[in-house]
Amino acid sequence: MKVLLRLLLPILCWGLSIERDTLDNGMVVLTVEAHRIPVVEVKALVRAGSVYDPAGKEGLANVVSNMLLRGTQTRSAYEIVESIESVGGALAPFANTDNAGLNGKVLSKDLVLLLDLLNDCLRNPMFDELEFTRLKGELVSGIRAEADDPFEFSKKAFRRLVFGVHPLAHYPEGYDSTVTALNTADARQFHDSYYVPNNVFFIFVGDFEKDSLLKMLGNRFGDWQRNEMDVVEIVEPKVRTKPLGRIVPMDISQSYIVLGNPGPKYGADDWLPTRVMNYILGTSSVSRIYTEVRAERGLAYVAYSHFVRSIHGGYFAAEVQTMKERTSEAVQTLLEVLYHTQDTIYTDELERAKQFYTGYFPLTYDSYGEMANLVAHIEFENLGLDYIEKFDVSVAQLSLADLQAAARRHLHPESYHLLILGDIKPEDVAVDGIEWVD
Amino acid sequence: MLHIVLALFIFQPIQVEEYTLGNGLKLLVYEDHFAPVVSVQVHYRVGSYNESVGLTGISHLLEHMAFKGTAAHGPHEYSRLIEGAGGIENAYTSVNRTVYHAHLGSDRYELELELEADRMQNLLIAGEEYTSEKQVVMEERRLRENDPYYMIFEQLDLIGFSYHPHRRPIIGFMADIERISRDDVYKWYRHYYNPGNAVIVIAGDVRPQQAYDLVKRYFGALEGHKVEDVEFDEPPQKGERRFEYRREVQMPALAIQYHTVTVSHEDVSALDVLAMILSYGMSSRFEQNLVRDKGLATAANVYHVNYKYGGNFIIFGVPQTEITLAALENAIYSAIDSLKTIPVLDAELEKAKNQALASAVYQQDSPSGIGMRLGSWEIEAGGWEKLNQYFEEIQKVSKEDIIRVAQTYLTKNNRTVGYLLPEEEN
Repeated sequence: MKVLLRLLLPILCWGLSIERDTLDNGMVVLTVEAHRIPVVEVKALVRAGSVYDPAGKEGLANVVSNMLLRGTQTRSAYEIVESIESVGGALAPFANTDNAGLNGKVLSKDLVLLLDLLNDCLRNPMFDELEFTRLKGELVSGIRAEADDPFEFSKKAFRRLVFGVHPLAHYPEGYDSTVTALNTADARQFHDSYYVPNNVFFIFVGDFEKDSLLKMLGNRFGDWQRNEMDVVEIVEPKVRTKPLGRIVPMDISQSYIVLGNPGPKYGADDWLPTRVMNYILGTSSVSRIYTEVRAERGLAYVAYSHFVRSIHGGYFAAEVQTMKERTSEAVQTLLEVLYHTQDTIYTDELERAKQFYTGYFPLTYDSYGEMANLVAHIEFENLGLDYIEKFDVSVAQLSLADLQAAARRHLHPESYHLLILGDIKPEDVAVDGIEWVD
Repeated sequence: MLHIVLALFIFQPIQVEEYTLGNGLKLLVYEDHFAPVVSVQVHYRVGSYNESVGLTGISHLLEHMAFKGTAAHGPHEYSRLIEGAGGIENAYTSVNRTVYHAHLGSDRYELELELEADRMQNLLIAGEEYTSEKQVVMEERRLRENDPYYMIFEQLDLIGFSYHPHRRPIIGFMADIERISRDDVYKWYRHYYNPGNAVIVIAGDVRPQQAYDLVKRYFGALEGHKVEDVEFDEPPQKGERRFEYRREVQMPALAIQYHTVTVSHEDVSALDVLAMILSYGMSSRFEQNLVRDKGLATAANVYHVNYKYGGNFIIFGVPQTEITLAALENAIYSAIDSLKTIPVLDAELEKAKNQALASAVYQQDSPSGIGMRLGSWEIEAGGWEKLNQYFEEIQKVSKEDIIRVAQTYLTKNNRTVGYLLPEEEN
């Protein structure tokens, strides 16, 4: 095995470093050696997330990642999970918007077993008809069951409202009708297209020795041939000019309100001021939304806002659940807070946010699992080699004008999307100029 | 034999420095210098177990009001100060504990101790704040009510227990939340919050002596007394109880509850191993048999939960489309009945023990997580060191133990079964 490229990525603040190696078939290996406990956490990420689901085949990326553990040329579905779990390890499929693949965790003495399984499962899934049918049965029933949870369902319906006909409109699990219609040929084709080494990113955090790990990876994955992939064009979602609303009827005592708009994707040049602005707006435990909606008016238990981002797009959403009689008041309060944030952010708010972020950062990666997530974040958002070292300085340099600009660019109270799940009618929601759709 | 040797090699008992102040305050310090962060937790010995009819949810209401200020710190000032120090903080209420916790840099955890000492003795619970926060708690209750799965579990406790305080929900019933007055909450606070009725856990990049000195500085002068619990014995269940819970759902679900034992009971380990064999991981019996092979369930999970004064073995299942709840329920009973007569396989027992051992190692990746477990074991089991003993007990579980506990606890007469079903025309 030849290692083509080796880079030293950020030094974590207590002496650990992230290193990035690329095998000659294009497979990227990111490692953080740490020896707190004799454990290794692994993420095998493939750029094969739900954004690559073809139209009408929503849920395919998720089905393919699940099928990785449902049998290979040499191992049955049961043998795969039994072998890893019998030593107390875990291997689980996942799919998000950008990526899909496998997450693994073992005691370090069992790392070889985990590598053998990853190699076999990522490269040689069988897509057996019976296993495929079984899996679809499990997934479709799960999708229907989740629709009974208003919390989850309101989030999904909001995303559909914001993105309409767009690859970002659906959650990775897809819809019951589209998953039902999938066949093994779809899965095979998707796997052939995207599961190639030059589209794979491995992240290892924990108790191993890096050079020896790279040798083991080379021995297993070195003969996996690189292949060019189809480039899928993902267009930017359309920006609206006036508010759009939808009510999903459900016989419950509260309205589940989600209000927001399309937002920045990974790599946006103003992400840092946007993040700090949103801390003030909706994530701090004394944020504006929390204060106005919960502390001042007692409207809701949950009241916050967030930016959901991915490589190809993102959105902003403020979420509140309130008794149905107070729906209108809650929506109006959210809009007032958004307008106010576009207008004015105060110096003391910025100072408090800066204090929070400078001390808070180490808390975000004090376990192997969190560290692996941070490494993925740095890689896919292309945050640069000096991200962690520079973070405090970058936050310290933010000005009120930076945050104000971010608020004006990424909050759209004049052309918002509003999803309400509950027992309420459009005429009960007193907002101007909104277009309601079914 | 190989297994035992391996177990000794892998399992490193958790080390804790334990201190008790003159006022009864217990301090547990867990050192881990991997990252420069510290988790500080104050566990009060009070929760829904202590509440009577008419006062359900009062411990949780108090937890909310504990963020609403003292004479020295106004409403939410506490949160502002912790966040200003780059920390994160929160609280939760459970059956036997109310816990306040903050996670922050190791050079500044003293701030959390100072604020917690203030919270322990000086809460105002001001009337105006109370009126508004009560609305928030009522919304939290509505949020639970709108979740069908939460509601089937609430019903399960109400019907599975006829007398024991475990029948009452932690969040409380809506009528009680509405009725409980500011003075009720204040009295509750004065009765239960004091150093003698609390355990402080400090976990992470910390030196025990320094932690002790700081705790002594802030809490040492406070007066303390332990509040004794009243014990309630649930009469033995002498027959299966069944119920339906109907609401607007697409997919039905079922929940089954068997009464088991307290967290300190010797049968906990065997019941836990049994639960792992049934549903822990993708190679477990339920996952392989009910979910994958037979296509009966999209989810079939077992939770064995144990508290200071009782425990439950709970099974929750969601059938696949076109499968009836009765078919899934019967398949679950077949799986349980086979455990009563046929010994589990050597490989299954070995796997469960390895999974328990590995989880004992995995938990040491999170000082805050370990801290929570230490506080929990200290209060629920009467001593944090029983957490280490628990992992040793798991390694001793035999095939015969599993047959015995299955026969003893997983019986028809000892179970309560709930069906979540779509509404039907009356």
